[in-house]
Amino acid sequence: MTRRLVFVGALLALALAAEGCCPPFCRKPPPGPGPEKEQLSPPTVAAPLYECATAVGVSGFVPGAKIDVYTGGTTIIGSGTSDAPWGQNLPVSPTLVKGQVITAVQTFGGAMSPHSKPVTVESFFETHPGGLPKPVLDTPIHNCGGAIGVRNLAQGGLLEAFANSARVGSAAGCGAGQWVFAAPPFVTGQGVYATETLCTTTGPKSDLVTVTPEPTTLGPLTVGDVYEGGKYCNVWGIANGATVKVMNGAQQIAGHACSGGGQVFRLQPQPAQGDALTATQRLCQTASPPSPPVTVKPCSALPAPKLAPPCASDDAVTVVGFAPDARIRVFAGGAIVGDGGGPRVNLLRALQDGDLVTLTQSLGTCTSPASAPYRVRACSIPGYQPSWWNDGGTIQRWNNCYNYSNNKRTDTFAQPGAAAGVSLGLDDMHCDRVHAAAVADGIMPLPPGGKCPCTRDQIALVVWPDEDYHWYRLDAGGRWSHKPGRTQATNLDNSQNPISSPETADRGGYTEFCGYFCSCSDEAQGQGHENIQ
Amino acid sequence: MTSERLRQLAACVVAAAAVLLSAEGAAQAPAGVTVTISVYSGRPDPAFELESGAELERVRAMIESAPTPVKVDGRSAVEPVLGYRGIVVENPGAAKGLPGRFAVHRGFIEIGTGEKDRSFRLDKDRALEEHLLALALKRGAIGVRLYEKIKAGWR
Repeated sequence: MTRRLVFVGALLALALAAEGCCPPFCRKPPPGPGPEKEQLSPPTVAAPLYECATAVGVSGFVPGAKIDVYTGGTTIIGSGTSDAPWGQNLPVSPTLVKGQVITAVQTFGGAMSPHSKPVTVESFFETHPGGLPKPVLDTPIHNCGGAIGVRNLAQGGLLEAFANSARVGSAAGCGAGQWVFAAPPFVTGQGVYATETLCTTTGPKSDLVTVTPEPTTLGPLTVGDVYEGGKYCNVWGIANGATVKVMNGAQQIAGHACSGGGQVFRLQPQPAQGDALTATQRLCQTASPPSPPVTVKPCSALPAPKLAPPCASDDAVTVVGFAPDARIRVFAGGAIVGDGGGPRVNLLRALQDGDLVTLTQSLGTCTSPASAPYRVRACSIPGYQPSWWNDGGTIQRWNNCYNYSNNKRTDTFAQPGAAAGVSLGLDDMHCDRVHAAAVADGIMPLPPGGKCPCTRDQIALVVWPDEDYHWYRLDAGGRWSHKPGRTQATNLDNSQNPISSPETADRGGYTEFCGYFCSCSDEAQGQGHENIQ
Repeated sequence: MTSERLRQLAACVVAAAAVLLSAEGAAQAPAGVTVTISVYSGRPDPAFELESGAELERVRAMIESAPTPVKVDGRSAVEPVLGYRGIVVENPGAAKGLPGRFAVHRGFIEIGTGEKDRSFRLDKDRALEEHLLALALKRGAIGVRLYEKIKAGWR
C-alpha cells in the first residue's frame, strides 16, 4: 500500500512539473480555433434566382475571398475575388437554367468554406404569370446626372436605361434594385425610362420621367468613419445622379456618379491613419461644400461591431456598426462559429439558447476588441395588452409604432435604422428605404416560406408616401394591433374595425404596403430583443 | 403743484404707460407652450411653441369664448388612428390663462386628459383648430403639402 502511494505521488509530482497543475484538477485549455478550413462561414447566395439570369449575387464572405459559384455542388459556373461582402454580383456562364441548384463557396488564406445554402433556379414567368414588373425610377432625375437608380426588378435580368429613346446605361445580371451609370449624362427635358429583359422577354417600360434642371444648391455629404487598414468608406446624402469625389487632402482617391442616397467607395490609394477625408458632390456647376472632414482613425480606435440580437436556432447573425470591408468573426462560448463579412454572416452551427455570442471586426491585421457578450434567448410572441402601453405618460408618449411592433420600450420614439447609424428623412418615406433601414437594424424580413422562424413575431410595414411610415404587430391571439405614434395602442383600424390583416385594414394615407418582418419579441410587454433606438 | 410739475408728472405717466404697453406686447410666452400637430405614427409629430404674449392671448381668448357643448360623444378629441388626429397643446409651465393641456379636433376642444377631469367646449367652425394649423404652416412646422393633405381630409 505504501509503495502504491509513493508511486502515485511520484506520478503526480511529474505531472505537476510538466503541466504546472495537479491532475485531475488541471483546467482544460480553452478549445482552440481548429483547423482554418473548418472556420470560414458559408457565404449567402441571393434568392430568388431566375432562369436566364447572367449573374448571381453572393454576400457574407471574408473581404478579399475568392468566390466560386456552383451548380449541382460540383460544377463551377462563375468565379471572382471580391472585397465587397455586402454583396457582389458574379457573372455566370452559361446562364442559369430552371431546376439548377446553385451554391457558393468562399476560399481565403488557403481555407475553403462549406457550400452555402442552396438556391434552386426557378422560372420567373411560371411564378409570375403577369410578366416582368414595371421598373420604377428613382426621382428626381437632374440635368448632368450621371447615374440612375431603378427599383422593382427581377433579379438577374438585363436592365437598360434610356434617355429620349437612346440607351444611356445598362447592367447585365441586375439586382432587385440596381443603379447604372448614364453616359452621356442626362440633359434637361429628356424623357427617361428603363426596361428589363429576362430570357428573351422585355418587360414594360417604367413611367417616363422628365429630366429637371439641376438644383441651385447641393447639401453637404456625410462620410462614415474610416479606420487604419480600411479600403472603403460610406458616403451619405448623395443627390440622385450627382458625381461624388472623395478627397484625401488635395488628392482624389475615389469618385464617380451615383444614384441618390448612400454609396460605398473604394479608396485608392488606401488612406493612412491621420489622413483627413472629405467628399463633395456636383451636378453641372452646382457643387456642395466639402463634407466635414473625417480623420482616418488608428487601429486602436476600431470599435467592436454590434450584434443584432439573434434567436436560438439562428444559423446566421446580422452585424451592425462595422467597417464596410471588415472581416467579421463570430464566437460562441469561446469557439469561432462564423467567419465572413457583414452585414449577415452565416454560422458553422446554429445558435442555442444560452449561447454567449461575441463578435470582432478586422481590417487587414487590425482587429477590434470583442463586442459585449450577448446571451441568446428564445424569442416569444406577446399578447395584446394595450393597457401596458397606454399609461397616458412616458410609455405612451415616447414609444411609437416601431417600438410597439417590436414590443420594445426604449422611450426614444425609435426610428428604423437609428441603431445602425442610418437617418431617414422625408425623402426616404418609401417602402424600399424604410425597409432597408429596418434591415440595417437587424430586423429580419419574412422569409420566402412566409413563416417567422424561432418564434419570432410577425410585424408589418406600411408607408404614407413622402410623409411617414407605420408598423403593425401580430399578437399571440392571432389578431393584429398597432400604436399610431404617441396615441394609444389599439387593435382597431381607422374604420374602428378589428385588424385581421394589415394589408386590408383601413390605413388612411398609408397606402403602400411594404411587407412583413420577423421580430425577436418577448411575451412580456416592452421586453422585445431587437436592437432598436 | 406748479404747471411745470404737472407737465413732468403727465410726461412720466405717459412714458410709464408706453413702457408697460410695449412690454406687454413684447412679452414672450412662457417657455414650453407646445403645439403639436398629431398626424404621424413613426416620425415625430410636427410641433412648435407659442412665441409671443399676443399668440398666447389669442388662443386663450378663443378658448374662453368657446361655448360649452350640450352633448359630448365621450370619445377623445385625439383618437388612435392613422393620419391627422387633431392638435394638442401642452402647457407644463402653467402659462396664465391656458389649461395645462388641451386638444382640438373636429369642432371640439378637449381640456384635460383623464376620464374624470376632462371637459369639452365647442370649437365653432373649427376656428381654433384652423388658427393653430395655419400658425403651424406659418412657422414652418408643417409644409404646404402636409397642410393641404390635412385640409383635404377635413371632416
